[in-house]
Amino acid sequence: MMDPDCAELLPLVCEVLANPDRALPDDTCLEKLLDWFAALTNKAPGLSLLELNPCLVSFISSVCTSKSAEPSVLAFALKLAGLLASNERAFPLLKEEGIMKNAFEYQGWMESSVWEDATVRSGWIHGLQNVLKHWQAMQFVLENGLLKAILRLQSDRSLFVASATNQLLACILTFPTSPAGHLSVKEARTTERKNERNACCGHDSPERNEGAAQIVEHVEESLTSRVPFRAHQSLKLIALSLTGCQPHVREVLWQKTVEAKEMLMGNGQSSLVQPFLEVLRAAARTHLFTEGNFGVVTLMDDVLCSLKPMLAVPFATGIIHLDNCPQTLKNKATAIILRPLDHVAALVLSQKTCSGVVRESDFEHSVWEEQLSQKSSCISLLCLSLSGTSELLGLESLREDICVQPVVLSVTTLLKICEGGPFFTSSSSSVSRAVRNLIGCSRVQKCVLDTMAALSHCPGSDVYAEDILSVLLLVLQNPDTDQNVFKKALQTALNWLCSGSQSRSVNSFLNKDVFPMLKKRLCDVRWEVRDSSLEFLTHLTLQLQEDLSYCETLSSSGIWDFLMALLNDPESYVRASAICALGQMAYVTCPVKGPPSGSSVQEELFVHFVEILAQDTEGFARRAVIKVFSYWLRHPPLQPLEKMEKHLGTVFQLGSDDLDWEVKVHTLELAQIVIDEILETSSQTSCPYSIIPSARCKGRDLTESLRKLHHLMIFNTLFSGLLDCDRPVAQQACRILLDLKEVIIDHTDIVDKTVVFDLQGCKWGQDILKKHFEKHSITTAIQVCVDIEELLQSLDLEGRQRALEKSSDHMENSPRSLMQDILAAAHTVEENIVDCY
Amino acid sequence: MPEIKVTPLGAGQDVGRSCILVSIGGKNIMLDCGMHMGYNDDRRFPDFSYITQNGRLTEFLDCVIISHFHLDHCGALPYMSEMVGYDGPIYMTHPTKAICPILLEDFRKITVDKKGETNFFTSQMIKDCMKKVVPLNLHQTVQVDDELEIKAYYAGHVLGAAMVQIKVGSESVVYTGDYNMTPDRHLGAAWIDKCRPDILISESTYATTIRDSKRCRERDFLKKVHETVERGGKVLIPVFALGRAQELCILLETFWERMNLKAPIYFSTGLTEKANHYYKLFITWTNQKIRKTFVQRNMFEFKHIKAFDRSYADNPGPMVVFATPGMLHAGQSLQIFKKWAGNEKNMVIMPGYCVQGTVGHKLLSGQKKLEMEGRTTLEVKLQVEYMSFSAHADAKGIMQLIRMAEPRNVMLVHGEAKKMEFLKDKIEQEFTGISCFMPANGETTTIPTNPSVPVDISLNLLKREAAFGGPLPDPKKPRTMHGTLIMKDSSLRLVSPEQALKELDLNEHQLRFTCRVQLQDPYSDTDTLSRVYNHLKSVLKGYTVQHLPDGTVMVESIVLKVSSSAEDPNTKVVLLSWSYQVTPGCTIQGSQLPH
Repeated sequence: MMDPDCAELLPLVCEVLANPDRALPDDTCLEKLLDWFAALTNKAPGLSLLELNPCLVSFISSVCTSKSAEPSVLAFALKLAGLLASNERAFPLLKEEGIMKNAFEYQGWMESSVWEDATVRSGWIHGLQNVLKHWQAMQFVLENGLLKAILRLQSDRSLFVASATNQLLACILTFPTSPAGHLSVKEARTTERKNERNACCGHDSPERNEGAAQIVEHVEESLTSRVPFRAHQSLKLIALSLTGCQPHVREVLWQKTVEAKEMLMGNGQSSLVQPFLEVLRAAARTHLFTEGNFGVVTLMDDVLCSLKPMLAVPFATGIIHLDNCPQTLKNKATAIILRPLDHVAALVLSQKTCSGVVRESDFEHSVWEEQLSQKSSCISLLCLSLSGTSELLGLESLREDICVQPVVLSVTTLLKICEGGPFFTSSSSSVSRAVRNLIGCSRVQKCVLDTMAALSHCPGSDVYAEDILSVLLLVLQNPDTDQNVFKKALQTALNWLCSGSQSRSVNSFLNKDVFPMLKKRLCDVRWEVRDSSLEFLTHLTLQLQEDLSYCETLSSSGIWDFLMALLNDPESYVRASAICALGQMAYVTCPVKGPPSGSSVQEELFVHFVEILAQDTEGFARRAVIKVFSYWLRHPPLQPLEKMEKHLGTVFQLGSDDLDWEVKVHTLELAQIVIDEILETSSQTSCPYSIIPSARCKGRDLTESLRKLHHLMIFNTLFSGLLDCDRPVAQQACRILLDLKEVIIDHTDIVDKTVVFDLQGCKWGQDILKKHFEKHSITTAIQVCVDIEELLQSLDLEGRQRALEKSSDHMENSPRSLMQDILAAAHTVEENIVDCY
Repeated sequence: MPEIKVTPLGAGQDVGRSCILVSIGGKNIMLDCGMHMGYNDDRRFPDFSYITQNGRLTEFLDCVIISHFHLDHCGALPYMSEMVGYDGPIYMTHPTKAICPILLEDFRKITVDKKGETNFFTSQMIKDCMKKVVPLNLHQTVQVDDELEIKAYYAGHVLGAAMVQIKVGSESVVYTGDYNMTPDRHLGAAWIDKCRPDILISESTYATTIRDSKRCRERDFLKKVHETVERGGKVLIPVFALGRAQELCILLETFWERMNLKAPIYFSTGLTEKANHYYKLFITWTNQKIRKTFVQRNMFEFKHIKAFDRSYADNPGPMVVFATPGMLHAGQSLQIFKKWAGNEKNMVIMPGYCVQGTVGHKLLSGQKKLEMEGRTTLEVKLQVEYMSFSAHADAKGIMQLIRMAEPRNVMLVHGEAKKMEFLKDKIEQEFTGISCFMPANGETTTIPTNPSVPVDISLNLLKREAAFGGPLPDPKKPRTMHGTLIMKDSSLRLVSPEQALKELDLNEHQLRFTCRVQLQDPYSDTDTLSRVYNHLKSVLKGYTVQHLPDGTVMVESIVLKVSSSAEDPNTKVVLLSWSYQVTPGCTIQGSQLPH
């Protein structure tokens, strides 16, 4: 229900909005107000909303009558009217008071100059769409001749209006059948006899039949109108409504589409082909597809063969996803998808066909040949073919239909062509043309790489790993490779490297080829390439960390020094990725490499990373440092925690003083891990991550743990976080403190709960210890001894958590604040120009 | 008819999020991909389903071009490339590429700070998106593919802002993004070639606004800050991390130096360091004065501006603090505001636009009692000032740019409908022959173009044309040439027919057309032919009509022959035969011969 404050403000807001002389609020206000009304009408009975707020009715009435308000206000009033009338009980009231007619009567709007504004037309359509939730509303639309107006707006010059109109029309066509009681069968039959057209639309109410017939007639006219936009819109409408409408309407719509097929298809190049294909795909999801007499399959088959290649491939890609699709059609679609890929590869390899799936007899050879011989169409067609192939490979049901080996051959050949080089020296003009068209083409390369990645998931594909990886290496080794192609090649290589089971050959490949290549790329002039290389290394190490031989290979690769150098990279993204890669590498190579100088690799790196945390000017690197620490602490092979304790205190100090909110959040996550670890070691609980120790926890151990936490500056971190002005930080700190409080309170046997805080340079001291100071009348002490339980209880953490839950944006989202802003804007004299942000 | 189509998905008759689709020469380009900060849901992004419903943006779009780093121009980019899915090229200038992630991160923080925020991009997505960006240099033509090329020009609005010319063949479009035609404290004025595009898509934020000069606004700002500080008050300036903040820092730094003021100036986040780093890095993009003095003193190394610490807010005495975020809706700036709002000696200066619901917005609309968390009311006693420092071209500047670029058509975007209307009339009045458009979002404007197709003409043909006499060809006037057009290897050449035959190694064949006309004539074939000859001679005066000894009649190149029908000797068949050539006025129709 609407709260009393809002109910008080609403009449004032209505008054302001209805007054064309008043300044209008921010352009988002009206949208947000509608969101609120939508939520209200969903929750509360619509009638009570109207009865309790009569200002709404008078607002809509006055705005729609005068039509002098700003277009945005008019649109708002129309949408609001629709929302309110969407309630079945409120509708009669609005109708009775003439609001419905007033708002949606078309003639009046059309005669008004405001109709020129697309916002108003859009408001009218959306208003009607809002209202169409019950049968009375449907009757209102049909009885008042609104359908004619709606149909006119279907080809509106505004894409937004035209598209919304189609949605509305689809809503009308797919509207659930009218309730039985509305019209007697006799009445319906009489009307039916009167109007022959209705016969084609089955046995629904006469208005409904009349409405459907009117739409069908309009669709038929549009399809044959030779006005491409009209036909386009009607095809869209058919595609939208075919699955949801009544079977008899569906059949008629289908019939009209089939009749107009020739015109729609043109010579296979018309702009209408695409929406026509959408209709076919929609039809394939209905009973029309499975019932042979409608000829959907035959039509699809015909269309597939007659389409120009650029349209045939995406259409075929749509077909392979259809359920219940006859195998012959699927086979044909598969062949079409593979055709361009096959053609180019076969051409270069001087074979007739590569895949074996493609039969020459299926296609008009010359058309495909021509398309593939021209640069731009060849590239587009190959990209379509490749993305279709990726989809094919992703469909388990279809994997059996295609043989992976030829596809591998095609994609590897294609990638080699793109790479250029001395591989293809054929004197044939068509081969050299193909090579010329594709050499260095990053668009095709990216698509090939996506397909290669999809291939890695095919069962049994690991036998091709070597072939694929060797071609990928060509791309990766080429210094001229586009940065995005390089990134994709690494991602694809990662897929293949981690999908295989022959770890020995993988390691040899890594050692001999990949690591040397990576060392070069880590020095690339482009930061994107350096960063992608680092990301690859991190992921690879993460995936293969269980593989001891990989860890050995990595340790001896000499890549470590390159990574260390990148810690000083000028680009902060790269520094952050280097930190992650080193963190991962140190973690896995630790047992292999052993301590080089008395201390472990991790410990050495830890010290280095702490320096970065203190000195790096950018957040990405500092965030990465804390994340690596969290990872190390979370995973078992780490050295015992005590060895790092002296640095951890510094980490928490630096992390909580950081200027970047995410560093602070990650620091608190790290604190959580350390707390869990410390409390777990002090308890006998079997759950390693439980914050609440078992009842067997000894009080003395817990006292020791609290000291430890304090020593590590964790209380400082938490209290400082609690006061942070960034909500996620304060929320995280509050959550951890609440858990700690529970632990401490639960254990009454803790020997000593006092903690001594050093107040010098302590930024949170004054605020957090306020109550403590009041109680003990200390104001200038340098050190204070505080009972931590007492302190936590005095902080009203629960209240703080509730406030944080709300956050400052509650103001932004509250309807009261919204209405206050609208009222304030109306009284603003000075205009603040909206410029940019 | 070739045409250019322009459809704004955003910035059509509004100043929300810029996103304009252009179709030119079969290429589809997206200009800017902005975000509307006023919404918390998907409405803040352009609706990409209008471009393609299958979500395959890469297949549809040839490239995306971002004009500058403001979020209403680039904020939806990671959403589009990483969440909707776009793998094609994205172009922006070097500074924009460097600065964009800072602002996107800044805004990401704002959103995670809010409740119930969903469907928003992550840090990794921002990085992945930035990796797809191809940086642009000013005045350097970049070939997107074989046909599409783009070229960036200096726009002046913010560091790295660019106008861009898009060209396919002889058709071209210029998109201005946001621009400023007058130099300011750290940036120069926009400039473009006389590139005569088919259409100039220009922003029109200040289409009709008569604004104080920027210098006046700056003086006013300094005066207000100075007065507040002098009377011991504190000044809060909520800003976004980068852009206006740096400009205002320079302004205050210089003023403090000149006036020898002692009150501290603080910048509340660490972002300023990075921002200043970029201003130093891209010094070539700043104005001449900054570039000149750079060697002696770097404007971005501030002497008076220090890092802010939370505890300073409670320090007694005057101070000036720049704090983020710029709309006073969360974080440091809001925290400071809450502390200072109750003192009338203090002042808050809002240097930019604030979305509805934020404290900044409420202050600007004059609200004096703000309800904070837990229904506590904050009474606003401090002074509130709004000073927009954003640098957009005003009507005069827009006209100046039109004069510079000499477009065939103009389209106004990024402005309010009523103001655009006024400027549209002004443009059409002042520049005769230029049509001005101002489509709403979702409305497509179609501009017919007249692309010229370059053709090489052989020297022989030119000589032959010249030999026909008359004055020498005037290079400014079009002239009709006759010849054979050879389209080969994607080039076009006009040569003489003889040369074409020779070059293409072809034989010449002549086509003759024939037709038979039946006449009822009882005389002999020879007599009939004579009668035909006489008749033609009488009716076709001025034409050469010959009776040849081989039993044929020739009218110019048309040959006539008469023979009797096998079935009926009275029926004569006249056989006409001619080769293809235009013989005006010479038509022979089947007719009754005079008896």
